[in-house]
Amino acid sequence: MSSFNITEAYLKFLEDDPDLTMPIAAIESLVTMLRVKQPSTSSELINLVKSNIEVLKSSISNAISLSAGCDLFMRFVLRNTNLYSDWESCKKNLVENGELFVQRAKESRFKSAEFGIPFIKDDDTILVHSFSRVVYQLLLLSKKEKMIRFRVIVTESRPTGKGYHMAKLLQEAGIPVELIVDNAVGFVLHKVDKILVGAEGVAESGGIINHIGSYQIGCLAKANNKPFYVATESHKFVRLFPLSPNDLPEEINKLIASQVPSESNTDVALNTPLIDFTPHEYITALITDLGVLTPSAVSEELIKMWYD
Amino acid sequence: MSAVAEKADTKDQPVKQVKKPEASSAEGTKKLSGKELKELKKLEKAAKRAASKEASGITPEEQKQIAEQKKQKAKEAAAAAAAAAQAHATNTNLKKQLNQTLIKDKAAQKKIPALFSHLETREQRNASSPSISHIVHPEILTLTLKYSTYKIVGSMPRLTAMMKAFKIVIRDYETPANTTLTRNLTGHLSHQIEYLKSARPLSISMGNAIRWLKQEISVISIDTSDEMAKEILCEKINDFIREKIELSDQLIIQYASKHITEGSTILTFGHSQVLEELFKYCAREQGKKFNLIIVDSRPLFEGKKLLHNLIDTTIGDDTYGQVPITKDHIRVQYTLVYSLSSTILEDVDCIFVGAAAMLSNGRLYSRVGTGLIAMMAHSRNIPVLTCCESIKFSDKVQLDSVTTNELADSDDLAQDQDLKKPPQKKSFALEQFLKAKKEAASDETNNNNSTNTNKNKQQQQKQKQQQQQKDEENKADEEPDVPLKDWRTTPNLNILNIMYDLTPPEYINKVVTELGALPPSSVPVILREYKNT
Repeated sequence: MSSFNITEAYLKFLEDDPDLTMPIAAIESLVTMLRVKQPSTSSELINLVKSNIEVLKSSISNAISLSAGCDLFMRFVLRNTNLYSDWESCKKNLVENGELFVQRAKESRFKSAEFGIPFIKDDDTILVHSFSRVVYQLLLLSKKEKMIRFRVIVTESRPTGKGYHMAKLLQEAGIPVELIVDNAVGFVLHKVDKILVGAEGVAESGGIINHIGSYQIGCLAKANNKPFYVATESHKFVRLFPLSPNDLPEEINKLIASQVPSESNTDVALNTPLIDFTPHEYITALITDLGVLTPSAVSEELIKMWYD
Repeated sequence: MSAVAEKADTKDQPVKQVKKPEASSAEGTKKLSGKELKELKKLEKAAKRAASKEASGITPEEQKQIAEQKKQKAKEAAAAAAAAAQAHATNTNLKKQLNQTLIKDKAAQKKIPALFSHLETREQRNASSPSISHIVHPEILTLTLKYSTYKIVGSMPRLTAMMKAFKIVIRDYETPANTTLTRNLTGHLSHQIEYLKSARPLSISMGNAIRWLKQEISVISIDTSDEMAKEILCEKINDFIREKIELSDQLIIQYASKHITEGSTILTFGHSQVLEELFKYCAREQGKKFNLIIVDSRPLFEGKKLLHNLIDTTIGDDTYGQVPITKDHIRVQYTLVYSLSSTILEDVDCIFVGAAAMLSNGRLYSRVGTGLIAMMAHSRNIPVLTCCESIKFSDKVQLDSVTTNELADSDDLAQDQDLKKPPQKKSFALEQFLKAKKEAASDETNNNNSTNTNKNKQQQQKQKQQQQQKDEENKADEEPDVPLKDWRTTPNLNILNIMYDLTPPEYINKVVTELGALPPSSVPVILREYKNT
């Protein structure tokens, strides 16, 4: 019973289902943890969840979206323990609702994609940065179900190279794809109709935390008057409020930087952050499972989520 | 039932009072004390009018004449109305006449720019203040004096002081016969508030708190005994202070302290209670070392207060001795707003400003000068943060700082730098008292003069001479050669001393509240979500 390892469970969930996003995997592993550990008092339960979240956050790099899921679950636990007077039913309910929660979160990607379809039109050229499951789902849906004809330009997304993955998937779906280096965004921008990116997390101001390079694309989009859309799920809303692109919790960026493979043929070690923050003024709209939101509506949703 | 009866009373009363004032007042004491209150209010209004007229330069004699004329007119009108059974129309007519005369007089007297002439000056505030000091609780009198002399300044200290004073007022309150606490206490408090307003207009947070308190009074069951009800209310006020002010501040400090990092440079303007606590917390509890630039402005110099309080705060334990936090932890730089130029803003990481209110369109209503600093910071891409308790949130919408603002005493600006004394102001009650005393004294001398012997006269003359000498001495003391000494009589010279300004939401990056950090665009969300609770 005591040998349960939250990090292992989390990684296993992610491995088993490549479509699973980090916040959902986190919630799922927490629910599993509760089922295994069987806490006997509510304070034990809360402490258990708390300590496990701590372990999870510290051991996993890039914990932004992960922490969104954890916080959401923590709040869910706190709210439910107060709701029931009877401990047994409370515990049972928690596990059951936790599963329901996971189920709903999984569906939210498809919902977001559906809300986003009207934004894609025939003969569009869409610039996509890095890989995002929601963006992929949205483009796939537009192509397969709505038969919309459009082109996609994908950035290479160094240093992770996730853009290659995205381009490959889109090509397999029969969408015309062009791959460019990150530095060529400015070059192609004037023929791009709209920009579509995913998000690791959505901050309270409505700004997004995403793969490095999103901020510069946002700035260029604003300067060129191109709409900048963010496709994401509402469980990625985090209670963070960075003030500038580099104003992210230090631990997060440190872990990421150390992960980057250093280029062997140079003397100077590559040390780059992997995520940045794009302030809300660069974002046209957020396409989420709650509907299409303006950046300022995010804080409204967050407040509703946390204080109702 | 009784409510209807009261309403009927209000309709009839104006006519009644004009016709037979003695009868109605006698009736009032016997009957409903609600009526009594109304009488009082009426008297107050009359006093207000009289006072404002006096302030606008009409002598008491003239005033009496006018009053006589009006009374006659009113009598005639009332008689006619009674005959025609149209009491309503005359009543409004009378009011209209009164208002018209009032406005004209005011316009002639003001010494502030025309754009701001709709704002109430201190003289007007005092003039419109009711002479009800006999039913105002001493605690409120003290508080009013403290407000008007800026002994208590800043939205939160004012709110806390007011709530504490209300607690004492409620404790000492006794319900008059034939009425209930639920119905009477609100009115009683209104008198206190009315008087409090003569010092300075209510702040948004005070308005919110008063609304809350009145709501709490009204929901007390009518069956509750007075003692019990007072106990409940005091407890509720305690909770309010703890929840809405103290705990809120703690949460805000927790959130905001993340933005003060080791070695960073923070700029702040004036004095804000929660920001002072924040800086102390960062230095004492978190042991952070940072640079603080305190920007200050005339005429209140609130930044000095912050500086002083920071220097007074010590850190360390008894074994190694206490040292002020400004020694090792906070390196303070104090400057005036006029020197807020290139070099000072060069390496500022973050700007913290206080707030008087957050309006629902995301605008920040704060001490005058805040807007200037926020705009300057915005042009240099420095984030501007404001710490604001949710009690300061208002559903008002305001687009400029002219429509609603507070006029401080013009004398504060006119006073010269060499005059080292802080702005001296008398309380309104004191002024009234002195005037009454003077009148009484002059009456007495008049009486004495007519009856007394020569000997007495001589004595009096001596006294008078002494008095004159003293007066002259005082005058010499009080009035050194100040450039703007005669600003009141100099034609076309206006002085504008406003207290607040409005900062547009574009210039504010973050609003830190006890509910978390928000962009200014989310203020209406907070209002919507929390109005009901």
